[in-house]
Amino acid sequence: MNIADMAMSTSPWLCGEGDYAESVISSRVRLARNLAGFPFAHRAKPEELREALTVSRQALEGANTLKTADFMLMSDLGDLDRQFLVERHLISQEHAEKSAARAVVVGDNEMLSVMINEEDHLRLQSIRSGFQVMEAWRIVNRLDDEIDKQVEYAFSYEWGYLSACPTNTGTGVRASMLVHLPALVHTGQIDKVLHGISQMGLAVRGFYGEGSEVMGNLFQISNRTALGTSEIDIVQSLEKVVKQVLDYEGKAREILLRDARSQIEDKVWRAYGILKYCRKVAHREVMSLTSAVRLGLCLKMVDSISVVGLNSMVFKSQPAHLQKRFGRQMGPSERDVVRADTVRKVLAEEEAKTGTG
Amino acid sequence: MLCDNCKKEPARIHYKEIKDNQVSEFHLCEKCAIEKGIQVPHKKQTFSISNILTGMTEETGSDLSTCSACGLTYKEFRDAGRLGCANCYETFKEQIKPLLRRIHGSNVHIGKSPRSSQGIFEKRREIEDLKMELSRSIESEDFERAAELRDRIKELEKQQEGDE
Repeated sequence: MNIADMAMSTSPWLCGEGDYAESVISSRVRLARNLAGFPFAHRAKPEELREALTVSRQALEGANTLKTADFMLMSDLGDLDRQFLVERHLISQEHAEKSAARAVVVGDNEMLSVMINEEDHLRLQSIRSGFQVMEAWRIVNRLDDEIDKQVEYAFSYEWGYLSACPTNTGTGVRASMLVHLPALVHTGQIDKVLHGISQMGLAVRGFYGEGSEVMGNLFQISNRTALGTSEIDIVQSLEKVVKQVLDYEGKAREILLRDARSQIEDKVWRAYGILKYCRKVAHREVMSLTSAVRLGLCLKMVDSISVVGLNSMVFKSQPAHLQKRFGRQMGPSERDVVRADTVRKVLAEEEAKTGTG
Repeated sequence: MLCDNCKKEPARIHYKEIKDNQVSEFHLCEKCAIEKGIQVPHKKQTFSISNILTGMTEETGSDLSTCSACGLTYKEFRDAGRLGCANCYETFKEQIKPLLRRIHGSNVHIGKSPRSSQGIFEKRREIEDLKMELSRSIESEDFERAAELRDRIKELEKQQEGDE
């Protein structure tokens, strides 16, 4: 699938499948791997980087799990395409900014992808909808096994998989879940919970991963350490902490319903009204409006829109997504108009599906 | 997202301006933002793990030691928080060991290993199991068994040295 086709569809990992899908948007596991015998990407000479790219590409082409994948050289992509891939959670901002001898491979309906020559030679990523981080690990692990048969990884018996940044050395695993926590934010308990999460040795990040900010009450919870713990243990302790956090969120929702039902209902329906009738809207605003409606959906106040509909609004509203869909560059003001049209259209379709509106 | 002004560089500075009750949003690249006289908070805000990392590394007299494979100096590693190649981990072993412990709370890899080294990991696990059994048999004063185990461990450890 090329970028133009992707732009017309929602990422399959936003399908609303998996446990707790109304609160857990997605689960992701990535593995950092380097090729033995090459300097790490930032230290490699241009010809070494190109060779690492060739070796990686061959190995990926030989992997069964990536049989139908698309290989894209970053240097073949324009700025808008790269930004689109960042919004799609397929590449990092850092990868979008450098292009020589860098590539991305996208397979399995965007649920499995590889960045080549980012900070590490290979960054394998598996994303699934909902609470499916173990499944994501299983799939990325299988791809890793397939690559392992064809290349020699930089590995130490003592310290595991060696990475450019020592924070990734060991298993090279970063497992994360994108979790919606509106009630903890509204009841002012979120700081306490985030503090607790960091004391458990996990990290919290924003919507686009490391260094990004939190929007629409969506928090990305992930492991912080990668050495001295097995992959399964990393995944299981993330599962445990996220379940605990969801439990707190559930209790906070009960409190909201008990003590502030009419305020919440008002907030939910006002947000719904804006999404339905807006003529100009910024992405940040869509994030916060969809957050309110998502809460309304979970609290059974709203039934005319699905989780998938909300997910699709959030993703389609992103700047590069809008520009790719409409096939042209647009300034912020024009984007706000087109975004409002897009959001209204998604909502109208959802209402038609549920026979409401 | 591209800069609203030059439409070439990626937009890095995002800000809102309220003028005559009208909110406008701007997305500019660093260069255009500076040209327009907008204060850029920091050249590049990269307060990430790597910065904290640099603070965690040892400040020893080894700043000049250099990796023989890629030429990275210890000072360069301390400044950027990135190692240059697999061999750097050997070169700066003494400094990296405590660093890894501070980051991860451990400096021994447990978990997956590449196909090429699986035999060695199985051996390592077997040795650990045997050592556990050894201490149990000493506790229960089964010295005959303990002697057997000790010999087996010695043998495996010798093989292991050869492998690694």
